[in-house]
Amino acid sequence: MRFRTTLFLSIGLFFITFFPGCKKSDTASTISVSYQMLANKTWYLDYKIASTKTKTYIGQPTYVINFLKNLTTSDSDGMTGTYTVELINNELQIHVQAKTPKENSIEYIYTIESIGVKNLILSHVLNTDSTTLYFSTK
Amino acid sequence: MPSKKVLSIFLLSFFIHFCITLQAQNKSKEEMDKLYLNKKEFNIVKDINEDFTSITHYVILGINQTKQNIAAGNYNSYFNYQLVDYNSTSYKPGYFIGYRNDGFYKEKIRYSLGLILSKVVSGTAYSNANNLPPFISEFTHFKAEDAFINLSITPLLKQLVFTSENAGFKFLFVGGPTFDIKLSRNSAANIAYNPYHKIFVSGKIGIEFENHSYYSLFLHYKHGLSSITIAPIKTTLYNFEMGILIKPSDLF
Repeated sequence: MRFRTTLFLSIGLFFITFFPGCKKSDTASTISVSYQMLANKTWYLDYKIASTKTKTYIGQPTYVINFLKNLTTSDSDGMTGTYTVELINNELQIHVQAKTPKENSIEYIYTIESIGVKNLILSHVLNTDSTTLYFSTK
Repeated sequence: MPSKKVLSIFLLSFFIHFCITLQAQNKSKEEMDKLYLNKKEFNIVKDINEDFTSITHYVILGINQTKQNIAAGNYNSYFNYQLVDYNSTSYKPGYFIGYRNDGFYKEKIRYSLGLILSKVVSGTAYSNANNLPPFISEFTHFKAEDAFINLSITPLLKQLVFTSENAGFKFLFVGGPTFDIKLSRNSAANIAYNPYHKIFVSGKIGIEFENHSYYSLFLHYKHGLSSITIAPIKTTLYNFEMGILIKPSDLF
C-alpha cells in the first residue's frame, strides 16, 4: 500500500472518528426516554405535598392514572383522554386533554420533576398554590 | 489532563507511525532509499524508520474483564434510576481484536504499538447515591453506559524479565499509556446530556510470555487515568485483558 494512500486513509479514519454524523436531537431523546418510562404503566399516588403539608396514601385507596403506549390516558376519577410529553423552556411536561364522566372537556399540564422506571414526581400550580405528587408503579 | 487538541495531535502521530511501519514492510530497502532520494518530504520517514528496527507484525485478540466506578456528584437530570437495579460491583466480560507491531527503538529499547478494537462490557459501581425519603431511596440521576466499543492506541515499553536460551521462552514486563477513542454512541438516556468524553487515557501494565516468537500470551491490567465522563461525574474504568499475539502469516 502506498504511503500516501495509507496516510490519507488514516487521516480519514481520524476525522470519521472525531466528527460523527448527525445525531438525534437532545429534546427528542429526552422525550423519547420519558415516554419509555411513563407509558404502559399504572401510576399510584403515594404522597401529595401541598403548601408544606404532606399527605400519604400508602395502604389506602388512592388516585391512580394510566398512561398507555397509544398516548391515551385514564384515571380513577373516570377521566379519559390523550396525553403528550413536551419539553418547553427546559421544563418536561405531561399535557393531558381529557373528558370527565359527564363528557366535559378538561385540559391540564403536569410538570415532570423526576421520572424513573418505578417512580414519578409531578407538580402542578393551581391559583399560585404548588402541589407535588409522588407516584409509584407498586 | 491534556487538552483534546494535544491528544488529537498525539493520536494522529501514532496513525502516521502505523503508516510508516506498514510501508517499511512492503518495500525493500533499495526501493525505500530511492523513494527517499526522490522525495525530500520522506526524509523524516527515513529518520524515523531507521530508529525502529526488527519490526514484527501481530494479530492481537483476547478477552477483557471490566468494571467502572462512578461518582455522579451533583449531576442532575429529569430521570431517576434506582441503584438496586443498576449497581454492580462485578467485572464483566468483553473481547478485543487488533493489530500490534513489536520491535526495537534505536536497537536497544523494546517497544510495541497496538491498534485495538474492543467491545467493553462493564459492571457499574456507584460510589454515591441520592435519596428522597420516604419516597425514593438510593437512586441516581445518571445512568452509566455499561457497554462501549473503543478503538485503543497502545504504545508500550517492554522489559525482558527472564529468558530461556535453550527453550526459547521469554517473559517480558510491559507498561505504557493507552488512548481510547469511544466509537459507540450513547444510549437514549445519555444522548441529551452527552456526559461522555470522546477520548480517555489509561495506564497499562502487564506480563507477556513469548514462545519462540511463534506466539505470545499476555495478561494486562489497564487503569483509567482520566475520567471517561465530564464533570461533575467522575467515572474510572478498571480493565483486565488476557489474550494472544499471533503472526498473521501463521493464521492465513
